[in-house]
Amino acid sequence: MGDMSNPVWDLRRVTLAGRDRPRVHNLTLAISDGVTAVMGSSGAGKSSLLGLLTDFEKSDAGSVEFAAPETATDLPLFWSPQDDGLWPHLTVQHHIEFVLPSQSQLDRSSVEWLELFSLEELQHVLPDSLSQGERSRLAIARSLASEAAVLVLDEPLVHVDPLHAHRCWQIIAEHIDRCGTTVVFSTHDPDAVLKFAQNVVCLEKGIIVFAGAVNELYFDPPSKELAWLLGPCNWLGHDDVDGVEACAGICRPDVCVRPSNLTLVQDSNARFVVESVLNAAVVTEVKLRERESERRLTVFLSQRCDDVATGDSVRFVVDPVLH
Amino acid sequence: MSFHEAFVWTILRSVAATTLAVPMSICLSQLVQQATGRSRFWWMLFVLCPLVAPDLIIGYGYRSFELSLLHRPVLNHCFYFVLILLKILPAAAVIRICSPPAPVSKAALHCARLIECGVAEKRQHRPMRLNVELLRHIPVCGIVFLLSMQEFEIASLLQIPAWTVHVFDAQASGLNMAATLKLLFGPVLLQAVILVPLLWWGLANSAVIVPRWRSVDCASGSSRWLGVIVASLAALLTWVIPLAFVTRSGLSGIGGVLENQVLLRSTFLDLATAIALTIPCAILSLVLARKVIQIFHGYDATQSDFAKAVSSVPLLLTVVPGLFGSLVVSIAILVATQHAPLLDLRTTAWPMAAALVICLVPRATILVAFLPVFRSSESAFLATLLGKSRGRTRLKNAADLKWWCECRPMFLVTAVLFYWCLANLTAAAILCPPTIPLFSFNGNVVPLPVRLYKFIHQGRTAALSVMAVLSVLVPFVLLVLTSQVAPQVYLRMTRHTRPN
Repeated sequence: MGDMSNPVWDLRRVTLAGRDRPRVHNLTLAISDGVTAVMGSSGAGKSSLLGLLTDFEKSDAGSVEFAAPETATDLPLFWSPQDDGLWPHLTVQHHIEFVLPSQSQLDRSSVEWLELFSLEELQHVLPDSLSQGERSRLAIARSLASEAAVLVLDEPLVHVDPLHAHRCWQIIAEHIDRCGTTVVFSTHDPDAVLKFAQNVVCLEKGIIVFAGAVNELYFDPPSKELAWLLGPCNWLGHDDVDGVEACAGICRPDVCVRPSNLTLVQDSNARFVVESVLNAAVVTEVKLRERESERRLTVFLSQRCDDVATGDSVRFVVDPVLH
Repeated sequence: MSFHEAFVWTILRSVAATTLAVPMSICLSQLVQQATGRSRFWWMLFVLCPLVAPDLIIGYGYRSFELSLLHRPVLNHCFYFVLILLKILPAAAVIRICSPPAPVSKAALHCARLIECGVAEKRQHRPMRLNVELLRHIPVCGIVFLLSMQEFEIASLLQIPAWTVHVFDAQASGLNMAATLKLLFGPVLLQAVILVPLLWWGLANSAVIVPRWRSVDCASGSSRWLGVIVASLAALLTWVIPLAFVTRSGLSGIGGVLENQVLLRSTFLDLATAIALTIPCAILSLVLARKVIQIFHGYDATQSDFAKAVSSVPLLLTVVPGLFGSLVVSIAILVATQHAPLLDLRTTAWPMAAALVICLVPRATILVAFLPVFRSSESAFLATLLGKSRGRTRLKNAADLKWWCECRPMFLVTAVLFYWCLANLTAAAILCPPTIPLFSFNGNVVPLPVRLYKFIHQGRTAALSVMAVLSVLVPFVLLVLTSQVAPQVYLRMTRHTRPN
């Protein structure tokens, strides 16, 4: 995947059998150090791939080679599985204490770790008394506290409320910066991928459909389905965009324009008429109708559209710099 | 009472036990499922302890009580019925805990109810309503019916009419094998009919038979109290009272027994023989159960029906014979050893060991499913990952975690199987050779429960009571000691283990 100075995993023609079909089929992939996200719809094989990377799952064919990056830590790899993998007989605090290295880079006590993840009041509680969100936070806290050279996180923080999740992601990012940890995580959250990952692997029915830089998938996705993995996008034809000079050399037929790169401008001579505007927290959805052909299309914008109303005539402007 | 009358009585008793066991097992399973943290282990122990109560102690403990009921057969029947119901209920609770949820959830049923506006819709949704709980009841009903029907030891000691007692007595009194097998035909056929849906359920749900600790409807207060009352009564009637009776009787004559060196020596030799025989049987049945679970999990949905049938043959061969109960298995082995080429085995302990293993395999399979010891567990694997650390503290922690996640449940399963094997009187009584030359002792050495079983029909004595208490106490103390020593040995063995 990309130019790799420090490959961590090398998977060659790996197949993992499943009940109805192979969970992973004939997969060849190299993963370098840094942060890599694994994306795909439910049942695409994300957890199976992560299981193979950790050696929890044994491949039925092919080979998986792991070489931990050279770091100061004495633990090569740790994992946060989808079911959290908590140890039922240990209290919350013991979960952290059991994995803390004797010579820590971070010099953080178990209580400090628990405070970071807002778990300090639950330190004497056993896992089966925790809520799903608390279990997820404990699993992540334990993974980070282990100070392993490589962390594999299977849908981390998926059950955590947005406020806690945001804070936890920040802690994960700080940890990566400070310790130089290599992280592979699976997720459905485009924001987490865009903020933290450099590379992304996309799976569909156990087969890799994309492996490369996050920016490449964001700005130049190979298909509409893959583009949606990183959030809403506008697939516009060359003719749809009036600002020809603005997107000259960029816009080719059926090009992906992300909401942040697209603006609607009122123009009484424009081809499109606004049928409805749905302002939401992050992305605004605007339904349009083409005057001549009655063709209807939906576009997504990253800013609120308070100055555009139903019945207005509008044209698209693509930001070539951002694009 | 004739054999046929006893057979009908057994069926009626089993039907009644099955009917009562379904609602009662719900209360018991909820007690375990809703417990959290450290309390779950104690709730499990409390609810499931009747499962390992030795029939010998129960029958022997209630011997005097039963004698007082000899002239009141109805009361005697009722007492026996309550006793076996309470002893079987924990098995029903285990099956319920491991059963997959009903294919139609209560929420799905409620959604169907919301769109019901006429008789036609109600009729249309009736099969769905039946599906909610009916499919979950199949395994519970099957297991309770089979266990109740196969019960022999307590019925024999309390002199209750049952087909098993008739067959055993007929065989012991020298009835020829053809006649004994003829007697077995009806009960075996009935059990086979019960086993078909049970096996169908097991094969259909093989991938989803796992303990469900959290996904359970909240028990109401009254249901919880009923569960506590039933569990208390079961623990009291199967453990506390019989053991108290036997201990009290033993204490009165313990001085005399301690002075009788010959009796003490033969008792400990018999006990050592029983333990030495049952440990390998328990381990072998555990190994076979593990294979069965592996076949379950290797079940490939892409296989054709023929391939599925072929792959399930070894599974059926391993589990099914034991499901017919100790009596049928033991008599089948007895018949087999009366003909060449197995004739020479008749005077050895091999037939008895084979019967013990065959009878234990289905139970071991359920236990392995109940405590997912041999499945890939994320928690245990994380301990393995931690064990790849080069730090000594983390290595020690990893070894400790591996003991807890992998070895300790396996030890517990082996302990329960060992106790069951030790308590299996039927196989031992039918197949035990006159002596087992295990310790080069010239006298007559047989497993202690066999010797006890032969004597306790003749009444209760202080010496017999001491022997009975020892037959329970010594293995228990051994297990407790092993449970204390085993983790230390494991940690010592893994202390200097370094990952590759």
